[in-house]
Amino acid sequence: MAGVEFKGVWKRFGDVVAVEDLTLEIIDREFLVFLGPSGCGKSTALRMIAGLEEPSEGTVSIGDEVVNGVDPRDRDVAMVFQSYALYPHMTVYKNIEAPLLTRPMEPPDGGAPRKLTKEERAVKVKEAAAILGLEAYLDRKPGALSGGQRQRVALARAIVRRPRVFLMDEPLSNLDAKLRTQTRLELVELWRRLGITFVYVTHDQVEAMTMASRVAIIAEGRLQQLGPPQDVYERPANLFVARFIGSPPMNTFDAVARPAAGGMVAQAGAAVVPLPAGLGVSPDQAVTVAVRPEHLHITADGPLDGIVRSVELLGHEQHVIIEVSGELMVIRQPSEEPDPVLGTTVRLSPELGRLHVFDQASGLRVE
Amino acid sequence: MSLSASAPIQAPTRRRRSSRVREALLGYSLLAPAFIVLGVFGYYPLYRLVHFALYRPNRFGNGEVYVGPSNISSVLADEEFLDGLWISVKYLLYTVPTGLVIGMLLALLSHRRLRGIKVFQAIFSSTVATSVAVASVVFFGLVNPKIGKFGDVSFISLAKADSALRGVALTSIWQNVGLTFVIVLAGLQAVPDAVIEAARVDGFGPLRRLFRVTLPLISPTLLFLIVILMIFGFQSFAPMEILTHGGPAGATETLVFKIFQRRAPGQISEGSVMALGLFGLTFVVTLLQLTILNKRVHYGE
Repeated sequence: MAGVEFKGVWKRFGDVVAVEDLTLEIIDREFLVFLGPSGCGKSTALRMIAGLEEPSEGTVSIGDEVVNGVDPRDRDVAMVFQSYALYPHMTVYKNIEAPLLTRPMEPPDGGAPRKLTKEERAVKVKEAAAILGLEAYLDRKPGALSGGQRQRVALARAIVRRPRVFLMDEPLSNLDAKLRTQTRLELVELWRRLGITFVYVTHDQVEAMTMASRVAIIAEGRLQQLGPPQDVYERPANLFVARFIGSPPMNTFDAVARPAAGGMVAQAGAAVVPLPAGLGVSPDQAVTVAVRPEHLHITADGPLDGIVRSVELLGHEQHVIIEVSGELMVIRQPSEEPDPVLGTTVRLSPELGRLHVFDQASGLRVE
Repeated sequence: MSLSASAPIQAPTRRRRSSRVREALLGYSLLAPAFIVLGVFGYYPLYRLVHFALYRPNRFGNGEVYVGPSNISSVLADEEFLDGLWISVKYLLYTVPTGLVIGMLLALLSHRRLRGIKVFQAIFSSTVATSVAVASVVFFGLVNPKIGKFGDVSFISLAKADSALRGVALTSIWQNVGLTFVIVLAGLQAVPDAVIEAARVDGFGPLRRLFRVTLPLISPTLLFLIVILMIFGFQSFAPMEILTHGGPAGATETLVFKIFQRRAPGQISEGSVMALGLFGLTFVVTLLQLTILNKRVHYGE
């Protein structure tokens, strides 16, 4: 068992900076998810933990040990690849057994770590296969398995050795939607059961929100925000996170802060939206105001006005798309609400306490 | 059934049949060039070969005498044929494993992302693009006993009967290295990086990775190479012709060389039988390799 620490880590490929000055501590036994758009450097960060890439600068530690320059096989980590990377010429049994062949480890009946005998390896392989429900497929080759079964073999191969850190690079992206939902639950179950640090890379915010103890949001090689999923959702640290997390995404509009009777307001054209009291904005500061679709409502006297452009019915809720001074905004409301009439002008009011305000110049959250 | 009901059914049938004929004609006409080339340069010569094997020119050279299958069995059992076969087999043993191993090692060494590695890849594969004759002349300059730089190295000396075949084999080895290199490198590039990375994380060292993962994954490529190198080895002719003329004392007279020697009208019957024997042999060896090795080869998903 061990945590992982990045200290001032950079990774450059030629002139391209993949990871920029990453400092991050992954706590022992947590389920940490690297979330970001593709090409943001999250996979590179994971591969640096595995030892498949070396940092250009800075240190990576596993436990208390700096692992820069340490070969992957001496790091005591296991990894599940997006393509699963099973050995196609070996049976499922041999695939799961592979990590047990070379390293000394604790025998099934306890005692000092040593290389396991064939019988001891069989015990471990069967145990891992049982956890993932693969007993019936041990003699098959990966080519004869479905995508979901292959994915389980990859998981079994990774857990068989009980590594200190368990790394996963988009392991669900090759599964169909139904299987993905089911496997998400099983992964969390597996994590609870094993009590091992999980580091998980994904571009899918649903996976991050549902599984993570903490999410590390990465964009353009930089860490944008680190925290529990709900915190990240409720208090995005900058505009990137605000727009990236949440579906449909947050509504944003640019405005200028103005003092008014009873506190500060945000003025966007003719619209004046009151801001929460005690917000650290100065008069005439250029800000971006953001509000989630579920916190924006159609009311008779709202400060914003717009034209109803379309209504999307999803069964349990509806999304109303409204054009507000040239920009599209989305309102998410229960389907019991009356359908707004297309083309009519409606007034909108955001919930005051649910407004997010960002400094336009820096993109950072203003509290 | 009324006429009006059957007419619209018949019409499309007729049309369909005629369009099928037209389609078939088009298909055969597209196949024709291949058929003609194969017929003229493949099947007709093969027919002539069988013909030569079964008939012998008469004493005056103006007609043919049927000799029949007994001709075939007597030639194939003759010492000349068996001797040539033995030399050909030795030649295979000298050329195929060495060329395969060296070419494979070079491919493994240069299969990496390094600046300028393409230059080495081009150099290593260049022997493929060299003609056998040119390669043979180059080695003539290297190992010829009178003018060669390495003419006095006794292990490959062309002057002695027991070492001459090894000297001749150098040309084929050199060419096999390039061919093996190109094909193995292509095979290596088709192995997914993630599988090799998984093996690294799973604790496989470089050697274990090579023997447990990489080589099994390129085994279809290796099987193909072994088959093709053996066929090339059986067919080798130019190195013997240029370096030794089959000498000294017939020590480098491989089967193909012996066949080539029997091209005079009086001997062409014997040569044809030998050629048929070589054809049959190559066929059987290839078939055996494919069936035996196929069981041990992994063809992926």
